[in-house]
Amino acid sequence: MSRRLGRRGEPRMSTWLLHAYPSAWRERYGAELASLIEADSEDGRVSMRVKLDVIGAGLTQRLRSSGLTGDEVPPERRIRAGVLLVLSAWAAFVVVGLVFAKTAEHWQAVTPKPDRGVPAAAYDGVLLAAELGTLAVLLGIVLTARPLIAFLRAGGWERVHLAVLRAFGSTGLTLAALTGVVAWAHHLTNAQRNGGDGLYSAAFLVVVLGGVLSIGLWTHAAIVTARQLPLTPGSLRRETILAAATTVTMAVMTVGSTIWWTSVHDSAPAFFGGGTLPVRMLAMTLVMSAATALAAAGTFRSARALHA
Amino acid sequence: MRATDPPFLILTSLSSGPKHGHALLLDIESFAGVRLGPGTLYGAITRLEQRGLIEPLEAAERRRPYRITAAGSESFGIALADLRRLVKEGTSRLRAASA
Repeated sequence: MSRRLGRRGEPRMSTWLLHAYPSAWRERYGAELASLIEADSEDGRVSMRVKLDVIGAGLTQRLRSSGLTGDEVPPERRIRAGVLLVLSAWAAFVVVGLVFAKTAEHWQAVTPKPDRGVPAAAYDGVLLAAELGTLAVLLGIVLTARPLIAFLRAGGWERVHLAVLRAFGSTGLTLAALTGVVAWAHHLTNAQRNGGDGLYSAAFLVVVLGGVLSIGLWTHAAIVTARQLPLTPGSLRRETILAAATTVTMAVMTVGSTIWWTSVHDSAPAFFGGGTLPVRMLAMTLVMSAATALAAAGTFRSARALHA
Repeated sequence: MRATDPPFLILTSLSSGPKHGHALLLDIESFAGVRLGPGTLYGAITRLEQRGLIEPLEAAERRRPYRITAAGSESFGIALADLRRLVKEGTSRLRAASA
């Protein structure tokens, strides 16, 4: 598709809007849709109604093309889409899990001994579910080892190398930054490390964001690769079972962590800063609930396609 | 397929002959009073083409006309028959209620 230019030489809005669609769809329908948007716009200006309509339709098409909605793509692609949605939700859980682990440090020290029973059981439940979930995800990765080798031998590296190198690059930069921040931390006091030094806090935040970005990029690389692996119906069935198991562990972690922080908050509100509601914990629960809901939707999608 | 669904409106429009995207928008607006967005229109065109109910013709520059296929005509006929049945049933019930 040729790159269309507007009156001032910048790419036209119609061309820009097409990026909401998957590339294969753009190849087939892009020129027609761009022509229609231009014909439908007054004085070359695309109205907000049309912009929202095209972006919404583009995102819907992305969901359909990926196999997450609709029944146009074969069941095999719908199963993969569901399993990969669970993997994406798990990646969000990894990030939230790090926040939980950091927040929960030394909680026993501030909670009165008679009140520790419920939060301790919830905390242990979260840890156990996290271990089982990690095991299920790792097993899912191991099951794709042979197809992955076959894919790479057949020249698959060319099709995934950009996504993998991007993830490697982000991880390398984050580790380098982390090394610098850790070395810097050795020269600071405890108070400076915990918010007293603005520059250090900013550097720490950059490292955290780098870590989140790296997890996101690795998940993206895994999705790009897994979409192209030659998986048998048996492998897809096993991946669906593991995805369902992972979803269960996510639900357990969401419930367990909520019980943990509400019971600790009841006994020792000062642990969360002393406010009526610990905002960070509420946000964490919201993200966990949303990720669990997404994982459940992915599992349901895969299981339904498995019986299609 | 419901009477106000974009695929139904597109099949109605194409029943009178092939049309490209902009002609479809104008035609649908004239007979149904509905102004479809370009994204909505092409989302429906994609699904109809995938189901073999419409097919593309040779493009003229960036405008590509579409026409209804035999399968599309058959499917549209069935949908219209369903709609006729509903209209008949609804009308007779309304008459019975007001009598």
